[in-house]
Amino acid sequence: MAGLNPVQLARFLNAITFVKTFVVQWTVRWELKDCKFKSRTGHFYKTRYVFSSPAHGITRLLWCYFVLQADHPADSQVKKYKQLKALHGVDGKPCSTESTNIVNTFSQSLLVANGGLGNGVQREELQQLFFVHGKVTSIAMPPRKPYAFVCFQEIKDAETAIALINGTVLTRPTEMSTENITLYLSFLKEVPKENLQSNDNLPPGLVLVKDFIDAEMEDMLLRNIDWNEEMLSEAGNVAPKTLKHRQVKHYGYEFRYDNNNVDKDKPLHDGIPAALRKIIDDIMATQNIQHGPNQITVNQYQPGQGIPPHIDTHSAFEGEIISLSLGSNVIMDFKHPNGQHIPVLVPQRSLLVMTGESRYLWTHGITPRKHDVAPADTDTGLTLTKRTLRTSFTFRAIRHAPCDCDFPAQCDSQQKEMKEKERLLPKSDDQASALEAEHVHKVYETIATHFSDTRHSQWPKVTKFINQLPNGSIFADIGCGNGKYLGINTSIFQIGCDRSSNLVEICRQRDYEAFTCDALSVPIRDNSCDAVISIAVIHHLSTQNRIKSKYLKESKHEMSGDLGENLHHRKLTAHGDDPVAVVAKNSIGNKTKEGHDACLCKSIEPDECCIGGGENSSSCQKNSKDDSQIQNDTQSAKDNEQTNRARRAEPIKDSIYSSNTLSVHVNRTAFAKQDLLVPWHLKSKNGKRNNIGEENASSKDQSVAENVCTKTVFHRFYHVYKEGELESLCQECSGVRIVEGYYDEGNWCVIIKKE
Amino acid sequence: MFLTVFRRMKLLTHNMLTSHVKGVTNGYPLNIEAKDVRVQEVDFNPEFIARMIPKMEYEVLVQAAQSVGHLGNLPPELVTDYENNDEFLKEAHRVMMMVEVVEGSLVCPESGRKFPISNGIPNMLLNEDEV
Repeated sequence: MAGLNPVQLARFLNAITFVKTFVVQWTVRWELKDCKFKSRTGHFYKTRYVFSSPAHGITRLLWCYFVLQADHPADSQVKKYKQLKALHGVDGKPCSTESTNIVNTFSQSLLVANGGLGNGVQREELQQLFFVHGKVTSIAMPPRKPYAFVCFQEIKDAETAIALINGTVLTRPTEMSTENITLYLSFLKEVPKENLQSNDNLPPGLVLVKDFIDAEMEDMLLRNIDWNEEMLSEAGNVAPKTLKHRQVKHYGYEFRYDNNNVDKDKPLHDGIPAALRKIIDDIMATQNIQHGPNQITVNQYQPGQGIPPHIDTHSAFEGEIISLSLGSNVIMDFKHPNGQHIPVLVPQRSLLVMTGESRYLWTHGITPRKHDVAPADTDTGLTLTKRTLRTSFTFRAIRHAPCDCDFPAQCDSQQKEMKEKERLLPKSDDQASALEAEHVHKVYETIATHFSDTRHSQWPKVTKFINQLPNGSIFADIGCGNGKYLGINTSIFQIGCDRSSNLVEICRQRDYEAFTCDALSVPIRDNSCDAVISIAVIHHLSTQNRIKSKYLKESKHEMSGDLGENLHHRKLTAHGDDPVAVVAKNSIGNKTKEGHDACLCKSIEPDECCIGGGENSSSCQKNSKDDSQIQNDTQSAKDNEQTNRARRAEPIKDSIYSSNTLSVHVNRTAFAKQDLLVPWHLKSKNGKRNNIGEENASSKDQSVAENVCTKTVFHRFYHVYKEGELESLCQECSGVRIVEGYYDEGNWCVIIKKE
Repeated sequence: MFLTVFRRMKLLTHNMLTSHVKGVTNGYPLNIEAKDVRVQEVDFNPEFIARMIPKMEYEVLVQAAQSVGHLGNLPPELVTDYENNDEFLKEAHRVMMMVEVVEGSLVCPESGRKFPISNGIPNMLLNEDEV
């Protein structure tokens, strides 16, 4: 014993004590060969903690001794590994708190890895195992976790428990088809507090009234629901529905799962039954409620059914969502957007009132399962309870004005308002670039592949223009998209650029030379190109001001960078092109004066027509048929022009209802205005919406996702040009001459030449 | 297996690119910081090259070839009568059309702003405060 310090000595003595206990226990067990053994208190353990031989027992004894006493590296590694493995258990997430909390010194608290609700261990099983070894102060079983915490009053009892219970195998009946569970124990510094969520901790605004009605009333209400009765609405028959996960019925108004809202002007014919009106009176009497409910949804959940997390549509209902639970307890999961999760036990016959944050900000849902983790009756811990048939009555008041809650990110009313604001015509350059970033750049980046798949046909005049370029010309396409004009003439050097890197990548994959840049700042040196085209670009620039000022400014800038007298010889490319969107233009380099210097400007419109439809890509040619329509359009555009100009000059009002909002174009109709958002229907395989709806998000997802959500709609900003508009823009640019302006394939084009 | 070798930034393209960062008066020529340079066979078309030569900044082409280590026998000065000098045209063809930068950056000579070349595509986009 020489050389041991007092602490070590104490540990050693401690260990000896426990070894004695162990030997005794082991002897007892050894005499009971049937894998069950009788404990000191006379209980029979159902465990199969059995040694195959005395040697096995001694090995285990030594193992326990070394791990506890000496922190043997190899052993503790094995132990730690098993503990960690067990901690990863059911939900697959490592539990850093618990694993770092593990200590190799003695303490009252034990971690029981593999012994949690998450892997099907019941509180009673742990009680049986641990109570025999001393006074247990608490057994904490965090929900859905494959581990539990057991605290003893005395450290020595914890030691005994860890020595005897570690490695215990809990047998599982074969019909459950789950494997037997081996428990791994270790000492903990302390039990993590956050694992012991109690029901006192409710999301802000949530009120739970226990025993709101008595059993008699509950019975009466349940009997009165006629699931087969047909409810008549103004709109016609409404039968109770069996949604994918539950049965529902509506009173007052029908809740529509397709848009998660109600038809506020179409109340159901039969109104609210008297029994429920009585309940509403009782609810109002609690004085928690400001708006009298006039819509009731009845949901019936079989054990194992649930409802996905959702927030009831803000614009549909007032600020109180009230739920009366009948038939069964259930755990409702409340989740904050920041990830905070509070499971709330909603007892049978209780009234749950969601107001404020809990109604507007937190999602609530019921996980589909047959058992819930619920507070045990005896103490503050948790245990499993079995669900039975549960019926919930949700009472809500229809909202008639837009919602103005404090949670705009969750609020459909305010989101809608913001979207409308976003669609205001830009009044400053910042707003213009924001609009273009959102409704041009971002959209093309997203739809690049689909867009490219629909862009094959070339405009014949543009093709002709490219084909007549002489051998050895340098040719650039500003806003080249998928590069459909880059492979036409193989005897020239062709280079493209686009704002969308995804489109440029497509060009590269088609073996075209291309780079990424903005058409308002083209990084090509002056006088380097013989011809430049810029097709279907200018219509994406949102203000005339932007086109002109950028155009002119850019020109001037170029000039200063160049020799003054050479100004006119400089390559137009950089500036000329930029602005001229739908334009194909070419300019001559100064040295080759003979070149074609034309800039082909096309102003666009209808190209979009076909573009918009997405699937009708093939019908690009149809544009021509739109000629007449375009003419009309042009007319109407002219009419608009005056107001338009006036509008642009005026400061724009902030009102969302002002006429300055951008309207969304309906594909294959005439353009209603010059400035529009043209929809692009992106087809995608997994176009699932991430939706927040009312109690039925799931079923809606089911049905709607298949029909509607396979397409996502993006809106692209367009300025629709009218006759002469493009030319007049080009005239404002000094140093260029318009060679030709024409109308082709529904697009305005201008060919300009550097002078 | 069918392998497609995609095109990357050629030195001819580099010859055309300039930096437009706000405040920069002379953003040309861009310096090349190449991390991955490849040489890819391209059909030789002497007439095309001969016509292309006068449109190039020849000095810049030479510098660029040097900086990526593929100058070869390209003369530092443009030879006279290059139209008929097949050997020269071949060298020029190699440098202009075959040498390609896959990864690296283009660096603005004045501001030092780096434009990344990734996967053979130069990204010349400017941030909001640079235009």
